[in-house]
Amino acid sequence: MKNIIAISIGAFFGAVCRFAISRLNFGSFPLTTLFVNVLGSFILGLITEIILEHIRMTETLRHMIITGFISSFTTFSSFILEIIELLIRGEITIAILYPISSILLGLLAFILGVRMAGVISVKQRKEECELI
Amino acid sequence: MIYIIVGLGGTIGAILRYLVGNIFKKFTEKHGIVTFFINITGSFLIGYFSTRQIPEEFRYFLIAGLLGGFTTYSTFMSDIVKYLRERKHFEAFVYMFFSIFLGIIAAGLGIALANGIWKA
Repeated sequence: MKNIIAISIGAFFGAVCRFAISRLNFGSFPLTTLFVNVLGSFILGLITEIILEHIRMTETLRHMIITGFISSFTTFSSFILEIIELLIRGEITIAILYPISSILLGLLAFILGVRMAGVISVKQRKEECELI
Repeated sequence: MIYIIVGLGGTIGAILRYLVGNIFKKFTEKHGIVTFFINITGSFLIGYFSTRQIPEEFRYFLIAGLLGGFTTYSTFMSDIVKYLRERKHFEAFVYMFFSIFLGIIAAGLGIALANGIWKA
């Protein structure tokens, strides 16, 4: 039950943030979904790595941030629907470029997040050593 | 007001995703099976409901909220990276390709169903 409440809170804000961003409009290329998905992948990479390697986080907080906020912030269904809409409108080039760029940028962002978690933790460790 | 409707939809979508995930975890530990199932189902539903005539508020609740919250892209990325880290490049590609390909097919079926192409 605690997990479900935590997920609810995270997911509420995740969906609201995504929706707020999606209301900005940039012509036929679905930039807002791309942005949300790439940013979410970066944050997930960063957070999972930090949790796994360096910071102890309660299961409830982890559910709020990961299962709730980030998973609800990013979306797969709109991604697919946008590809179909592009195909229907006959914008074939964008319909092909959109998923390819989503995948490549998403993977890059995730890996960048993981790397950045490493950098942050190294800095933290150095500071701890200096304190001692 | 519209933000609260979307937020509530997202909440319900995420809880459903969590519950479905828990059920699936009993059957498989393989990366991405749950995410795959959720994303394909969500794609079918978004195809269907985006085509049907429904009241605007309900549309926001269902499409931007519930289905947006139910399906997830970040976990999809993390599953691909897990396969890549295990040097299972083929599995990573198959998972990625079929998620998108079958997602498009599922959404297309949803659209066709909503347009009344097949009548039960």
